Amino acid sequence: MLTRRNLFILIITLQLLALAGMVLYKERWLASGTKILLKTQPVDPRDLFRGDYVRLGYEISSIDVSQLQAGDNIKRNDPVYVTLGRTSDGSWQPLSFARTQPKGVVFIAGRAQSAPATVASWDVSLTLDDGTSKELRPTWFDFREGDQIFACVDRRGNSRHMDRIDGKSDCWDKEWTKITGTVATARQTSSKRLSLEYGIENYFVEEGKGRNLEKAQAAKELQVEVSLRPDGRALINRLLLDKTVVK
Amino acid sequence: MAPTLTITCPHCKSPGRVDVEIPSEGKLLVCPSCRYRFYVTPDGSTRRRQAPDQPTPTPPALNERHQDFVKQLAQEMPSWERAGIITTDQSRRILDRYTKLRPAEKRVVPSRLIAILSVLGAILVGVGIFAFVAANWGALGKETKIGVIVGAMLVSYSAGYVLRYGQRHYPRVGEALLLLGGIIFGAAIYFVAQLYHISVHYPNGPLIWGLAILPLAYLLRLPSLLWLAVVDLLAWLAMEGSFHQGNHHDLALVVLVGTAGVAAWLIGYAHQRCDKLAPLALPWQTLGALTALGALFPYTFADSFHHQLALGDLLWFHLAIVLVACVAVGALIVGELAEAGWWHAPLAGLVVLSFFLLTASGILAVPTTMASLAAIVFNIIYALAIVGLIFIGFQRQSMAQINIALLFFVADLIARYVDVFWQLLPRSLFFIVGGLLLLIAGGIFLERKRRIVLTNLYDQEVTGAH
Repeated sequence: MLTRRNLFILIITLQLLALAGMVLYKERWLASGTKILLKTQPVDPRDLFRGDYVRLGYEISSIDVSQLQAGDNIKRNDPVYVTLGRTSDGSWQPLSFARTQPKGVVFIAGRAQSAPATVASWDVSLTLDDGTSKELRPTWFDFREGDQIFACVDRRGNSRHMDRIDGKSDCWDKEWTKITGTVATARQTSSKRLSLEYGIENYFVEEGKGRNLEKAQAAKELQVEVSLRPDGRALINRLLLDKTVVK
Repeated sequence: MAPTLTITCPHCKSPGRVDVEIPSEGKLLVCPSCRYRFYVTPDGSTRRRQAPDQPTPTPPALNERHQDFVKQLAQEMPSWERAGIITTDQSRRILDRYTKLRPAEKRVVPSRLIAILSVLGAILVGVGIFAFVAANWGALGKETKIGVIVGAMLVSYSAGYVLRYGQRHYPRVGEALLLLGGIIFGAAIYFVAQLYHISVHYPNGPLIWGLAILPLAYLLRLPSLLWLAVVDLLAWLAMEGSFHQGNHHDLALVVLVGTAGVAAWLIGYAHQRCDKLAPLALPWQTLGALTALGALFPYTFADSFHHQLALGDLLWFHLAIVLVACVAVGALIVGELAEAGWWHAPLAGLVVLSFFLLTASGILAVPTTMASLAAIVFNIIYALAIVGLIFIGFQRQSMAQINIALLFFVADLIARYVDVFWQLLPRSLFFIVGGLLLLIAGGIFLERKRRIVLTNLYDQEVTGAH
């Protein structure tokens, strides 16, 4: 009988089934998919809705469009397939990029986040005070050859800040190393790059652990085990910090 | 043959005999001498109380309704006296009949306060559960976490249903708990997404949430759940739209949400044609008017006319929304042909909808040099839209619509003031003059207008004048 009570129970049951369906679908995906390990680096924002998480960046998150056939006219949300090959240390690396689904190989499916964008960077060579030279690739550079400057370099060797020796600013993060020297050469390069998303960019962690994980990465190796469906779509299974599963 | 029982009436103590079968739960008897009603059990003992399956016929809500009635009666009496329906003496005698309820009204908590407190409580608990999920507590296993959330949802839903419709009858707390159940369902969706580190296609969250609680809002006629469902669905549309639009143009999204706002507003009016659905009209109308006027607002700035929009990727969304709006207008036409002025709301809705569609298709794009002129023309159109909404709100006796229109009127006033005077006046003077203008325009002028509109609405109601 379609009484109010029975309809109420029916709607609540459907809500429960929707939740159960979501859980079972993902569990089946995790259980049946091909497991592969990908190297990753964390970038850490915070999602208001979804608690603390680590935003993960991969080698395949940003590619040069020249690596992709007809990459120039790719649009937002267009699919891109990355064929992967296993390396000696057990992790998987990109071999080639394609706009159509490859056959008979292990591949991961991604989507273009936007049309390709021109990214400018600089190749700068500094002659340090002790006479050695240091190569830097900042995204922004506003000095001339012969200028006396300092650069703040993070643990990964990326230049985070630069200014003239007599400038007012300084390195504001304690973890950066300050180097001083003279600009030997500076050359601007630009490339067209494409940002890709694979659905494995967010890893949710217990509140407060996200930043710890990012700091731990400075010294250790971070890997993600993903479960691949036959159509290349991926789901994160677990996160490994220096080969140990992160809980 | 049933054994004969000798019993004594518990009220007048007169003896008597019963020779019918007495069921184990007892039988209701009436004393032939004093007409007292009592229960007798198979062993011959009598009970003065009623059977357990027959609750007291006066639910607590009855007193509340009485109070509302007396309060309204006292408010209405003077106008009845003025209209010559009753004399002052009659009015005093009518009110004297309710001497107990009137002082009681001052001591009890107003029912609206109970409703507001309950809903606020439900929202707070809901936010707490969201925060609990967001904190992603580590000590529990996957199954336990899901169990806790689903358990909380089921407890909230069933307690809400029992309190609202059960014998104890706490309709307001019941409604708040049903709303909480709906909020926890949303938290459960986000929790599952978090459990499996899902980052693709986040708009699915609000879509499933909105679609799942929408039927519940209609089945139980719960406006609070409908507010949540409509907000969810509008949020889904904005997210889904941003996912599909190729050129990252925020104004295209604003226009898309604006068309949805007009459709929602028309859906609200369509609800009013059916008595059963009328209580659910307000969330649609209010959110629809807020969204539509909010989406029109950017066009009061000249900058908006610099952008070229094209339907492109959002075409199907617009077509679906137009279809929904047409169905709503159809329902209005079928239901209200006889009523005077029935065509005002659908016409206003369709005019604004057409503006959005023309904007979305890029037809309204003007050269940069013409942008200022276009903005001036649009500001006049915008003012007309506000006046139109006040007119329709007045006609339909909807204070919510009038208030929304006044809100956007003030917003437009501030925006134009900033546009014109920011460059010309020194800043301190700008703030002082602006503040004074707002006090006079907002505080005095609008308050007075609002009072006039309210009094007119009331007089119309009382005298039946149109």
